[in-house]
Parts: sequence; C-alpha cells; structure tokens
Amino acid sequence: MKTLIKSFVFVMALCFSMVHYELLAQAGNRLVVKGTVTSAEDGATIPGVTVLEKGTSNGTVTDIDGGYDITLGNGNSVLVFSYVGFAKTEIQAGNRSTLDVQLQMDMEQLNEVVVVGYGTQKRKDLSGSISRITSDEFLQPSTGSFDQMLQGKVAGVQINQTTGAPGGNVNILVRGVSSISGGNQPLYVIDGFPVDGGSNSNMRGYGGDSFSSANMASNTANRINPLNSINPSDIASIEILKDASATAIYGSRGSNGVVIITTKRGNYEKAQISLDMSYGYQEVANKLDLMNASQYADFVADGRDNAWIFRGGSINDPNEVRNAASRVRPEFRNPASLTTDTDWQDVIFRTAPVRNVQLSSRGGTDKTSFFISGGYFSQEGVVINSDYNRFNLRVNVDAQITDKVRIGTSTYGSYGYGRFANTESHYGQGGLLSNVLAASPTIPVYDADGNYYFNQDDVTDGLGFLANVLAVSEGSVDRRNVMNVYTNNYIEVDINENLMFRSSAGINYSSSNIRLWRSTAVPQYTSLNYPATAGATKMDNLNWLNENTLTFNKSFDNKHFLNAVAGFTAQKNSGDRLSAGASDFPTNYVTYLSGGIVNAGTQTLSEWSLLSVMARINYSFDSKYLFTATLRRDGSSRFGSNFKWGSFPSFSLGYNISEEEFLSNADFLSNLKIRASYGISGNNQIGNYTHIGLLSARRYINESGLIPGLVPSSLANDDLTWEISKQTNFGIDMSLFQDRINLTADIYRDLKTDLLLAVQLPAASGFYSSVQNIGDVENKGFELGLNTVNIQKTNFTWNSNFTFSANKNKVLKLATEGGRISNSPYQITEVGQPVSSFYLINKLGIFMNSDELEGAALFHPRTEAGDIKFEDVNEDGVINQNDRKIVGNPWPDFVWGITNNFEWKNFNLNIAIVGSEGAQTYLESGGALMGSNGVQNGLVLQDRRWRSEEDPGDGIIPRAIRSNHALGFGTSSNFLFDASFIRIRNVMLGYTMPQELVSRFRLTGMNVYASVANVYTFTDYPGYDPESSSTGDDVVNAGIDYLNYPLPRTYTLGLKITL
Amino acid sequence: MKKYIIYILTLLAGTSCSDFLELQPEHQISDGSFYKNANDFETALIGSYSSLQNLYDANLVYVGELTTDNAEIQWTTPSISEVELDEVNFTPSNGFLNAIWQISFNLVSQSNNILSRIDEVDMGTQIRDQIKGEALFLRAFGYFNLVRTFGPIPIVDVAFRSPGEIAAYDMTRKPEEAVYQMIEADLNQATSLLTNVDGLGKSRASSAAAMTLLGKVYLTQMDYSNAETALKGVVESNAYSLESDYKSLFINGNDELTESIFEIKYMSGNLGVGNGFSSTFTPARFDMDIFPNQMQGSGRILPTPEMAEAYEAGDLRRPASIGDSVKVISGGYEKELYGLKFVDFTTGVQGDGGINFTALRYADVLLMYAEALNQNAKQDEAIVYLNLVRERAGLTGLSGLDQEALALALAQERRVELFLEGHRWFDLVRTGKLLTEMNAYFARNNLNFEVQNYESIMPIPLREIDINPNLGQNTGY
Repeated sequence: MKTLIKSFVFVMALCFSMVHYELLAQAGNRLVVKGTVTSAEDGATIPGVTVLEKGTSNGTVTDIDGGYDITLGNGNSVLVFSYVGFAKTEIQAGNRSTLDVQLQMDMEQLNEVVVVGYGTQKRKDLSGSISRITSDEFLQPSTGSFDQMLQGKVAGVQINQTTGAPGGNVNILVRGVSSISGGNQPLYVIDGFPVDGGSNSNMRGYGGDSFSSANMASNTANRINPLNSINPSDIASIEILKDASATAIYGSRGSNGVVIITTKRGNYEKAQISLDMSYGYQEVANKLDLMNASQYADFVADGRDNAWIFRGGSINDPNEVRNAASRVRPEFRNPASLTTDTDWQDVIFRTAPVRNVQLSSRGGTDKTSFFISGGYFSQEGVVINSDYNRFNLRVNVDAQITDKVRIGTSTYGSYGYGRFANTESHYGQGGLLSNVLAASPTIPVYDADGNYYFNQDDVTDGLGFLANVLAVSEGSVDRRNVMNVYTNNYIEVDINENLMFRSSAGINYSSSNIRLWRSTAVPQYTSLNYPATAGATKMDNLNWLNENTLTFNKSFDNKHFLNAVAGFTAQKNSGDRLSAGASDFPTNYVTYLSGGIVNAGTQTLSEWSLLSVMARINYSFDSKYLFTATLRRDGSSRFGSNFKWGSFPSFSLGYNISEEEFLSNADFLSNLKIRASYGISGNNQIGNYTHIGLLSARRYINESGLIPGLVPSSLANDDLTWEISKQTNFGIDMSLFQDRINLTADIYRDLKTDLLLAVQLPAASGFYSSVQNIGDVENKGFELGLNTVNIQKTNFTWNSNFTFSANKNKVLKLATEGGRISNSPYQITEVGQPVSSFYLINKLGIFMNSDELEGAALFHPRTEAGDIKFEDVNEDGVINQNDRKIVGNPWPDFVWGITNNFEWKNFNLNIAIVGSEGAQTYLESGGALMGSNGVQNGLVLQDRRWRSEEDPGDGIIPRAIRSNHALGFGTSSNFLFDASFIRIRNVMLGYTMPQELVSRFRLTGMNVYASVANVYTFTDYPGYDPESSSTGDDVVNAGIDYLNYPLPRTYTLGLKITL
Repeated sequence: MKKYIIYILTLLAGTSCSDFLELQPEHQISDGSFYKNANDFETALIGSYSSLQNLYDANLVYVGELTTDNAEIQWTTPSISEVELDEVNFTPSNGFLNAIWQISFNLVSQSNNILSRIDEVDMGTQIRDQIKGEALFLRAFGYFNLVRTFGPIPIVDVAFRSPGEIAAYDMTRKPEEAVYQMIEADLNQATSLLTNVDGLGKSRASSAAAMTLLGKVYLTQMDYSNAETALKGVVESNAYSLESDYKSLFINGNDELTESIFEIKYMSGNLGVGNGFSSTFTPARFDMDIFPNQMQGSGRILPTPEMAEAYEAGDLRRPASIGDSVKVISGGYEKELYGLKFVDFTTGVQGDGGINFTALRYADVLLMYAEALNQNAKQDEAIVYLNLVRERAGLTGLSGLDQEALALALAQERRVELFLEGHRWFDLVRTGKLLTEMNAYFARNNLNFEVQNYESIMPIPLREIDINPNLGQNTGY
C-alpha cells in the first residue's frame, strides 16, 4: 500500500513538470495559412492555442508569439481555434493565406455559474465551499445511479459503494460522520425540490432471527437506492454544498451537506436528438480463494483430531471410540481419494449483461425551450436470481410567456423493479454467500439423479447445517418495485429590472412494493425444513412543496454588486405503509400471501411538516471583496413543543487577490481568492415522532386466543430538537498559467453539538432510554481539488483531476457517566475517540510453541500452542472482556481520487483511480471464512495455519480445533482488517467519428466507446471488497462486513449518436 | 425593505401556521390519547402480563435451574452469561440478570403507570378494584423477583412522564425489609380488591394468586405463621386440586387446569407469542428427529445425571419430566438426558412452543403450606399435604417424620415435583442450603467450582451501575 501511494505521488509530480515543459515547447508546420492569435480582451498574443482543421486530425498550436501556420486541404476547410479559458472559435479559411484571430474569453468558464440554494452565483463571486461537477465529468455507462460515479471526483465527500447489488445502496458522507443516532446522509435537492437520501439500508439483520410471518411483514430494510430514481443521463450538474455558509440556507436539514442536482434543460436552439446506447457484461471482480477438497479434508481432520486430543484421546483412536464431534470420515484421511472438488462460488456467480438505452432531445424556439428524455436501464446481477431494471421519462420545459413572466416545469417519472439476493448474514438466516463459502468442496452440486445434492450424513458428521445453495437461492424471493412521479412547476415574474418574484409548487409521489417469500428449502438456523412464509409491503409516499422567493439584483457605480434573496417555503411528507405476512403454506407453488394463511400485518402513517423563511445577501465590491450572509428559520413537526422553531445564520467573506492592481502583472496567476466562512446548520433526521411519548402493542393470550395489550414504550420529551452544526471554513482558490492549473483547498472545523443520543435511563424508571440532545462531535479536515492541463498539443491533450480529503472525527461529549456508549459487541463510541471505534480483545498473534505459554495471560486455562495469543490489557493475568481496547475505527484517514483524461486525435482515454487509507473493517463473516473449527470451508489462508511447533504456519492463523475454548467466547481483533485500498475504478476508451463520415449519415456527432469498471483493486482486505459494509447508512454499526453482494467488474461497449 | 418582508413572513409562518407543525402519530397511540376509560386500562394490563412471557421463557428459568444441581449446559458454544450461571460465577454483566432486572422493573413501572392514572378516570368501582388489584399483584410480583434475586433495590412507586422527573427521583437502593413491606402491603390490598377467587382466568391475577404469592413472600422471609395463614386461605378456598395426571400439567392443552393458580400463556403458530423451552430443554444434536422439520435442540438447560437419579423408583414424575433417549434421523435412538416439561413436540420452529408455563400451581401451595406447618411444629398436619403430592406421583405416603426429617423430605419433594419450573435456586437460598448442597454437588462431580455465601444474592447489573454509580454493588462482586 505504501509503495502504491509513493508511485502515485510520483505521477502527480510528473503532471506538474509536464505543464512546465509544455509551456516552453512549441511546434510549427509548413505554411499555407498563417496568422496570429490574440486575446480579444487585451490584444495580447496567446501561445499554445490549438488550431485544427475541422473533421480531420490535421492541426498545430500557436508559438510563443501566438503565431501559427498550417497546410490545409482546400479553401472550404474550417479552422477550429481552442484554448483553455477562451471560447472555441471556428472560422472558414476561404482563400486567405493570413488569418489573424481574436479569441473571446470564455464567459461560461470564467463566469461559471454555480447553483446555490435558492439561486445561482458566479464561481468567482463565491465565498463558501461548494464543489461542482458537470455531466461530462462523471458520465459513465453501466451504472444505475449517479452517486456511484462521483466517487473520488469531489473533495470532501466520502462515497462508499457498500454493495455491488444491482440497484443497491451507496453511502455518502460529506465531511465525515455528523450524527450518532440521527441520519448522516446529505440532503438532496433535485431541481429545487429537497428529498431525503437513503436510509435504513442496514442489511446485517436482514430477515431477522426468524422468518416468521410477522418478521416477513415488518421487514423494512431498504434494498433499492432511492437515488436510482434519477436518471444519470438527465443530470446537467451536481453541486455539493459543504461548508455552513453554503448549507445554512437549508437550515435544519443542512448539516450533513447538501447535494444539489440540476437536470438538463432546453437551449433555445435548433432541436437535437441524442441516442446513447451501451451494452456490457459483468463478472465478480474479486472471487475469494477457498480451500480445495484436499486442503479442506486435511483441515477438518486436523480440527477433529485436535478436539479429540483436547478431550483426552489419542490421534490414533478410531471413530468408534470418539465422540460425534471428533469423528473423521475415512476418505478425509486420504485426501487424494476425493474426486469431487466444488467451488461453490461458481454455483451462484455468473457473468451477467447490463444494458442502457437513452434517447433525448433538447432545443427550443426563442421563447420556449425543452428537454425531453426517455430511457431504459437493465442490469442482471452477478449473483443468480438478482437483477434491476428501470424505465424513466423526463420533460423539462421553460417558456417566456410575456416580457416579464416565465413559467416552466421539471417533470419526471420512473419505474424501477428488480429481484434482490440475500447475500448477507449467516447461512442459517438464508445468507447465500456464507453458504457458498462454508459449504464442503468435497460434495457435488447435483446428485446422480440431477437433483440438488443433499446428504443427511454430511449434516450428521458435522459438515455443517447447510442446505444446497441453489435450493436456498430459488426458495428466497425478494422482489421490489418503486414508482416515482415528480413534478415541480414555477412561475417567475420580473417586477422591475432589479426584482424578481418566483413561486414554485411541486409534488413527489412514490409508491413501492416489496414481496418476500421463503420456501421450505431455506433453512432457519437449526431447522432444515422451516415452514414457508411470505410477506408483502406496500408503501406510498407523498411529498409536496411550495416555495416563494423574491430576488433582488443591483449594481451601483459598477463597483458595488448586490444580490439578495428572501423566501418562504412549506413542505409536508406523508408516508403510508401497509404490510402483511402469511404462513401455513400447503405447497411451495404459490409464493404470494394468498397461497397461505395471512396472520400478521400492520399499517402505519408517518408524517412530517416543515415551514421555513430564509434570506441571503451577496455583496461584492469591485469584484475584490465578497460578502455573503444567510439566515433561515425552520419550524418542524419533529421538534418538541419547547423548541419548534430554530434559526440558522451564516456568514462568509472572500477576497479576490488576483483582482488587485499589484498582481496585474503576475501573468502566471489567473485567479487567486481566499475565503472564510462560519455558520450554523441543523440536522432534523431524528425520526418523526421522537418527542412524543408512545405506547407499543404487546400481544398476549387468553382462552379465546390473542388479545391486544399496550405498554409505554417511549418517554415524551418536549425539549427535543435538531442537532446543531457549527462550521468554520477557510479556503483558497488559485488558477495558474492561463487556468492550466486550478487548485481549490479548504480546511474546516465542524463542531456538532446537541447531538441526539439515546440517554440510558435507570431500568427502575420503566424506560430503557430517552432520546435527548446531548453529545458533541468534532470533524476537522482538509480537502484539496486540483485540475491540471498537463499537455495541450495539436493532436494530444492530457488533463488530470485530483481530489484529496482527510477528515478526523472525535467525540467530545457524551451523556453517559463513563463517556462511553456501547454500540454493539464490536464497537463503542467514546469521548476522545472517533464515533463507532472498534473495541475488541486485541489479538497479538499465535502461541508458536509451548514455551510462549509460560506465564502468559490466557483466555482459557487449557490454551495450547497454536491457539491465539491475546493482549492482557489490564494485566490481571487472565484474558476476558475487561481486556477489550480500542483497536481501530471504520473511518478512513483520507480518501483520494485521480482522473486522467487523454485525447489523441479522435481518441479519448479516461482513467479514474480512487483510494482510501486507514479505515478498518470487521469481517463479521470471519467466523465462517476464517473459523478454525474444522467444520466449514474457508479461505485458502487456512492452509497456512499452525500445525505443530515444527510447522507453525504464518503466525497469524491459529490451529484447527473443534472446540470453542481456544477462540474464546468474546469477539477479538482476529477478524478486524485494514480496509485501505487503491482501485482502478474505470478505464474508458472513446473514439469520435470524423466529421466527414458523420455528415455522410446526416448526423451531428457520433462516438463509440469501450470501458471497464472496477478494473482492479489493490488491497490487503481478505473479504470480497474493502468498501463492503453490510450496515449501509447505519453509523452506529459502520464498518461491519457480513458478506455483501460482491462488486462486479463490468466491460461495456457504447455508442452515442447526435442528430 | 427585506427586513419587513422577513417580518411579515415570519409572522405568517409563526402564528397562523402553527397547527401545520403539530402532527400526531395516527397509527400509534401516544400517552396523551390513551388511559381514557376502563377498557384502556384493561389493555394496559394485558400489555403488562405479556412481559411475563419473556421473564419466564429465557430468564427466570435459567436463573432458577441452570445455577443448581438440577441442570447443566450441553451446548458447545454457550454464551458467557450461560456459563456464569452454570458455574455459579455471576458477574454484573450477566445478560440474564440484566433481563430480570429490566423486565421486573418494567412490570413495576407499568403498574405504577396504571395506579397513578386510574383514579382520574370515571369507571365502575368493581372494575376499578379489579384493575387496581391486578396492577398491585404485578407490582408485587416484579418486586419479589427483584428483591430475592438482588437484595436491596430502589423503590419506585410513582409513574414518570418526562426525563426530568426521572433525574429528580431518589433511585438509591432501599433495604430488603422496606421492599418486603411494600410487597406485602400490595398483596394484602390486592387480595381484598380482587373479589373473585379465580378472577378472569388463570392468566390473570386472582385473590388466590395474590395469597399464594404472599405465602411465598412470607416463606422467603421465614415468617412461617403469616405464611401459614396466607396459604391456608388458598387451600381452604377449595377452588384448586391436584391434576390426577401429573404429565398433563406440562403438555399441549394445559390451559386453565384446576391445579393451576397463575399461568403464563404461550401459543404457537409463528405469532411471536411462543416460548423457546422446546429447544432450551432438549439436546443440541444435528441429527435429532423428535420435532417437525427435524428442529434441533440447543441443549442449554439439560438435567444433570444426578437429577435423573433424584427420583424414587416408580415416581410417575420421572418419565413425565426427563427423557432418556432421542430418536435420530437415521431411524435409531441415541442416549441423551433431556427435559420434557413444556417441550412442545408439535412445532418445528424455535421459539414457537405453545405450552403454558405453570408459574404458581396448587402442588407448590401444598408443599409450601406443609413447610410452614412443619416450621410451626404442626408435623402431623404438614405430612398430610406432602402425601397428597406424593400420592399423585404414584408414591406411598410418608409418616412419622420429625421436623428436621420432614424438612428434608419437603426439600426433596419440591426438587422433583417442581423440576424445571424455576424454583430450585430460590428454594436453596431460602432454606439456607445453597452452600452445603451446591458445594457437595460440585465436589461429587469433580467440578472445580465453589459457591460462596455472598453469591446467594446476585450482582446488580453493570448497566444500572454505569448509569447511576451511586447505586452501589452487592458485596463480593
């Protein structure tokens, strides 16, 4: 890992040196047309301008004096002049032999407009911390949702693709973890409509401890990423609001960061039609190396012999005298005799296609513009019986209906559906991956009759209580669909030349269905033939929004610029959920509720409402001094009666140093700005009714059957309110050498106070805990974004984009006396440490020989050589739960990404690499994958285990023994691993068809491309993927991997046609 | 200008729209909209009773049996809490003890909640008395389990409505005498409020249930004269008698039997109201074929070999309580000792057993009554009640025993009669025989464990001390 980072730094250094080299080296050509290129603004000559004969690869660049010469085919040729920071200019050469050209400053680029909350701002006037990414920077084929594509491209944002499942969730954290028990996902604002991100995506307990009809009905795990409903091809730009000066305008919803998504709109030009098609196929990116049949047989025999010796027997004792757990099958004594060698992964993994077709048109007249798109995305999973499909339609229209009035709409519909595979969790809960990893390689998939192989003797002999994975996969149905209809319509009225009124109204309606079924073939821990059950859930969600704003724009003396917004908004969300479960199915034929007896069900209605007023003032003086202040006041139904309303102010200052006179001669410096901001925002993701004392249903029984009861389940808290974020940010923006190097760097400190914590109450009070606003957490970080144009030659350009984000999380205050919250058997949250640190008994290694046991602290008095050696933290001579200590945390020290884009003639090569360093992941499936019991198969690493003092293995893997004494009861760092990685995320090669060829087909443009996603990952993590986290957005249990759906490697071919 | 707009908007939003921000959970009942009539209080009581399912299913039976010479663990990977009970080596982090603490205090607080609100609501005197009586019984039931397990404990007799009220309350532990005073007062009041002997069925508190519990409370305090009085009330009510078939008490269909005084109801059918005794009490074998779906046992509370030998020859309770072999999938039988009581052979789903648990039954009353009589030097009378129990088990009556011999006979009788019903540990502690019996048992079986005197009351759960360090720990832990 270290060397990789070094080589990466080297590559970065190379990028810089290339820039310098490139500025000095220039090229020339024979003369037919020649001229000088100057800047229209100041008349200065521009060296390095690319001059290209359109539709060919014939071209040159201007020399140090801005001069060029080029030989052209004929007088009809069109010359294309392009240079960073200037608008691309096309001129027909005609018969001229001298052609001097003035390039206009590219206003779009210099005056890049950034979408901020309730308005837009010019990039150069911005004093907050906002990252912007446009569609051409992130668009990759074969991904169903845009969030996956942002990984590594935005500084300050940690994006984890925690599952490879089609349609699956992505976890996004902006500037670290902000809440312990509240939500951590940012607020998404889609064309002005705020929607919540994903939640409830923890799959670890999926299916619960029982598949009872009641559990099937109450399964609320969210397997479909809600952001899938947005078609990535529709997106024009994404702004990520990071510091409080940017997010405070979203008040009580801003503290986790805000992601503003703006979709494409019409352009008041002649309509164009685009067709984008791709086809790809996927395979599992990283299959695990498991023991083969003979290694497995040796491992099992070893484990059982050791168990028998532990019980006082001899290794030579025959099976007849041994206890059942110590018996070894005769053929396992002679591994060479084993003819079957099944890798069960191959049984459920497959190569699978992914298809994407998008058709869109944009254009308009001088008064009306439109963008219309429709598409179909279909992805089969690399695990059998899983897939995801989506249809989407969009209509965005804007119309100038009078001189002063504009109206418009953003209207969108999507329908996604799919089948989901329960790869996570223990095979006793139907987990597919733990099943294939644990299953014996010595047994075949099918028996002689072609049926799924199953042999009771295998179970009796302790091969494990495993059903055939194909039967489990076919017997587990998880079908889901989501329909999303969204429309947001506005009217804008110019009251006078300075004042504009805008009002919008929109609804976002979604309807989703979940249908679950477990056949009798899916075992439930100890029952091989668990009775079949089914569950169905239907959810309807209606969210409406009304926003009214006044925008004021005025400049005085061309020095003072004032922009102000004031507004009032109301939003309400109602979620209705109906679910039912059934059991007592007479057969496995009918998998719907109707096939059994419906005996469980519930209906809930959950609502929230929000009223807000807000205002913002932007003031700039002479384009040098920038000032922004915002204020929002939010009233929320979620807050207790004593704190219904809260205020969220922010301030920021910017100083465009490069506008100063004394820097006007510093030609190398095209832009230099320093920024500072402070603001307060909130997090209202605290649950809808947390402040109300509620009663819960409890059922009991009398002679006539079930009777309902109620018990108090939560305590009222009128003081409950939002979580507060107080953030300070300092930033610098710098552009050098005519914008060939663009750097943005920010440092911040984000103090989260009044965090909601479940304060433990004495049980004698009758309540277990009460949610109160107690607890402080600090995030400190540094982030850097760097864009460079490394090479710009006639036929070759090379751009790089580098991002780096480091965040340090620390708990400052908790409610409990000891300053510690126990999250789970694996994790705690403690003052002075990052949230959800791993708190485990620390494994030091293996007792390599009996000498090492002398005087050592032991977990069990009969610990022997080959067993795990633990650290005796409290030095009391024994190893127990009191020896737990903090051994790591699931948060990376830093994440980074680098994207290199090469253009050579009509070819385009894009390589994206992302990395993460310092996070740890607890492989909860370690017991299955790396257990030493000699009961289940596991990683081939087990073959390096301790066997004897003479053959002690690698010092990491303990001996095999089928007795729990050696491992202990507790959880230890044995299964905690470094999850650092460097991943070649995507490589894409594109080719733009020559103009002549394209014109012949009466097309405007045509591109073909080939790409590979998830090319390779460098990591020491032993599981499927270092980013894998079964706990989704659940911060309390972050960094627990219980065998998530593996990430696919995808090979795609695509075609893009514009006409 | 803008300022004025903000003012106007703020006024608009802040005043006229405040209703917009008041949302109540329509699908769930909040405390403000409940406790309006007798029916609501009845529903609240049912909620209270349902917590008894969990109390017995996993916790009280573990603490009452696994800790003693009655039972041991067979499961190869038990939890640390289970091992602690089996080896009588309790620590404050024991999960079972924590659960008993929590569930019992939940019972107390749910009763407090009912008692604190019921007088504010109009309803008939009879129904009010009934509800109050049951709530008092449940509060006493909670406190009795707490005090006999943990010794001194906090006394809470109010209902809390906000976090602030809890913080302000005196949560220090009070002496055992004070707790017992409260329990006795509650049970005496319950006895008088509950007019029907048999109440609303055996799963609801009746005056007889209150009297039985009161007898047990007095017996635990070695107040034998009061114990005699209380238990005499139950015996002389003539409402209860022993079932002729001992086995029928512990198998499917054991609803509302004449012997039952207070029972915990369970029901199978995947409804979340079943119990786990079927797997807890049966062997952990992959190949066992005694349940539908070939469900496996978990071998967590299995009879010790000594327990299997503790029955006299011909005792009908032996075959009704302990199995000696299990059928395996290959067709044969394998030797295993396991419990039969409350094991539901009709369900193949773990945690879905449907057999009711006999929390208080008449045989227990008779043996307690005999014990009180014996301690009050009424051996002749005592032995009559002992023999009622023996004769039902197919054994001959005893006679001519002196006080000491009769006490021994009663202890033995309680062990075999009430095996797996969660009494053993408390009986050993109550009669002062914990150390002698248990240490002799460990010695006989070459087990390197020892029970010490301080262990007769168990440690206060760590969670409670973490929250409130002033609570203090019992000595020895």
